Amino acid sequence: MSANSIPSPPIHRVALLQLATLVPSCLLVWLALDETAAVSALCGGAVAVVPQAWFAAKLFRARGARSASEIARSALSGEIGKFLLSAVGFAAVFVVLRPLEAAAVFAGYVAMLIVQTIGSWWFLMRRQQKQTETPKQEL
Amino acid sequence: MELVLIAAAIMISLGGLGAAIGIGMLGGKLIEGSARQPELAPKLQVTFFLGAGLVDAIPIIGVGLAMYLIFVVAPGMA
Repeated sequence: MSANSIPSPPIHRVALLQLATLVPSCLLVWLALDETAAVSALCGGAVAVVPQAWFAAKLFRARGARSASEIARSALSGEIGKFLLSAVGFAAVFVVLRPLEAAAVFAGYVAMLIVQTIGSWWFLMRRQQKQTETPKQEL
Repeated sequence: MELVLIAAAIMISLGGLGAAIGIGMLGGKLIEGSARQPELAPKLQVTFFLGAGLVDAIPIIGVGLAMYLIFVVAPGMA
């Protein structure tokens, strides 16, 4: 199987799921608490979503066993980028955002991490199951 | 106040060290697994993606806490 024929996993759906969860959650926080908490949670969530999307885009640029070393290289650069983007994102939020509710920033971040883990597992594992079931059905 | 900056530096450095070790081990196993069973490479890549997301979550939260310490708790020092 050539690397080009391996379909790309639906990583964009994970980012879309995160955004689809983040925005309504922040609206709920706005209604339940106040604007400051909602905006802080939104910023915290964005700090989680953007670096993760960058890392996923870098990691899945190359596919297939022959590209294993290239995958490892792109994973390294993606991880460095993710780390830097997260650090810069947190710094920007804590410098620019006033008034700020720090607990809401971290709550938004952790919530997006949970959504990312569950969403990735759901989308990617379900796709793998489909791929493994398809050849059996053909036989 | 200097202690706050030292705490932030320790948070970032130890967090980065832990993430580096974890991702390095994951990447090594990815290459090793892909070499042993090339047909499993796409699956391993997806598992790597999931594992990497979990491994670097805690260090990045540490970085976030360090940024909070630097820019909110001790803003005059930064």
